[in-house]
Amino acid sequence: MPDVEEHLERWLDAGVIHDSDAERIRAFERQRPAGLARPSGERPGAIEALLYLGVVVVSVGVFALIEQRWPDLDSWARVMAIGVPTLLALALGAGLHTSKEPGLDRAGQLAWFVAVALFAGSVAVILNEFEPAGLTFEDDANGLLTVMSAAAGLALILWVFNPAHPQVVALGAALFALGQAVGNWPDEFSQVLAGMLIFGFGVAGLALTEAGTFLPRFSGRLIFATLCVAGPYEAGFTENGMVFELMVFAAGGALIALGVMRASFTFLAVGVIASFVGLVTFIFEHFEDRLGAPVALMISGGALIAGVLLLARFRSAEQIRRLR
Amino acid sequence: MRTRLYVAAVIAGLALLVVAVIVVANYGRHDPSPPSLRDDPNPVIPGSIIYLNEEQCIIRAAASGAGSEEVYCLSRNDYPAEIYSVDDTTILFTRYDSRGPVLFELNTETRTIRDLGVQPSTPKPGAESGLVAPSGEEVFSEYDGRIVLLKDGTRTTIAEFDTREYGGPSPVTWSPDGQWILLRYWARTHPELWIISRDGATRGTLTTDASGSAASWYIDGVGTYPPIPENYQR
Repeated sequence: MPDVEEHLERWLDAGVIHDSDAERIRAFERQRPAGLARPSGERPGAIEALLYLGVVVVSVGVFALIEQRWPDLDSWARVMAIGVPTLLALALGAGLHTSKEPGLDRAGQLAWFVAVALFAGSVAVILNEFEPAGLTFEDDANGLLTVMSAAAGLALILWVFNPAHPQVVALGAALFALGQAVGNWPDEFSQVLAGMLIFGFGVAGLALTEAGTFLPRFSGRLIFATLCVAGPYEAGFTENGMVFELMVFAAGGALIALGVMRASFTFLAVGVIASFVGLVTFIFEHFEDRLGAPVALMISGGALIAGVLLLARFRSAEQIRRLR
Repeated sequence: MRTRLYVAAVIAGLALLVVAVIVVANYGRHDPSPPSLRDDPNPVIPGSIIYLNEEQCIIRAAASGAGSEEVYCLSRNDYPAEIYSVDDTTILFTRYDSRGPVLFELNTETRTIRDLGVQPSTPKPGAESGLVAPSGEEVFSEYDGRIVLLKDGTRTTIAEFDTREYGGPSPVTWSPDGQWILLRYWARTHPELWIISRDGATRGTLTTDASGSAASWYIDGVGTYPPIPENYQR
């Protein structure tokens, strides 16, 4: 039902349907039997499950090889060990993407998701083994920056070709890692630099998602809203991080407000969770000495209960709409 | 597809902009290394220094920076904590085995190594409290990159380097005449050896490929510092 509400909201905003049409659609959706959730093509099948299993087994094999045999391998063998699975994952994703079967398409999305991680590993191994232009991965901030930039670039390219949930998650993870690589560039790791870049990615992504240009909207909202609060949260772990700790609350509050305005449970959930985590961190960071751990835990527990009740109360978009 | 390309351009552009600004502005980076003595030797600095490079090879370099030679390459498993220049052809170093730290003698002409079977009797001077000069004064490094001399209870800052906190240079040894100090600085990707004068006015980078903290300074006619272990017999 929340998915339907998000669609209705978008169609209403665009003037495609009127309020009366929206109400009729809601009534129809309410009457639909629970078992008739999705058309058959949307349900994962045995072939799709086997493809998932295959991708996971290959990934585990690559990591097991790295774990057990890495010191015995020559440079070229190391590059092949991770480069070949990377190319295979990219080719598999491309091949399955062209399939008309929704299940195979989803398996292709997973293959491309894994390909981003493998690609980052491939670039790191190439840098370590051959040191092109003096770049290395170990003990070199430039190497880490190169690896994470390459991974984010690939994640972005794959999203352009197939804007699906796994590609959005891969892009979010790659942007987060790129933020860490940028924070690692100065002589001393800068949580502020890393956190504010991640925040910047989150804000830009959210703006694009809400403008309707970044799809799918659900994972776009979830990932970029998370980056919006994760950035200030990380930046708060510095000596004078109070302003960033307060920024977590501001971002959480803004997401809750946005959730109400856009009737989005995703924003509401991320905002409430961020506010809860921010509050617990804040209490333990600044008041544990005065309050003592038991009182701090009690306040944190109360905040958790309040957060869960709030989410339970407004778990559907329709209920959130009534807030307006 | 066109919209998605636009979105990708916005995200990639933001990332590229931030990375470019940080890299071009050299944000948060420190470069405290003094000028290279190899590029511009300083003949005022006397004697020669032996140290280990990153390939575990013993290097003998003119302290002035005028030249250096590879003397002998140790095994990758050797991590000598101490190294002593006895004369032009003899070097002592410690090697750890089941007996603990044991002294070995290297003849650089014949390239032979002799197991002396004894542990070095003289600890590195001031290894725990700062480095003690032949004249008795001590040199310390502070967390903020300052080099401080302690003499008769008076602390004097002789040099300040723009380094990250707790990442500044640390003293390795004095010169045998007590007029120079050898420092080790752990740069981002490689350890360096610096030389500064006792008053801090003269500074130079001897090498950018040092390894460990074992080094010894030899001045012909003056001696070796740190002192050669007393139980060493030729």
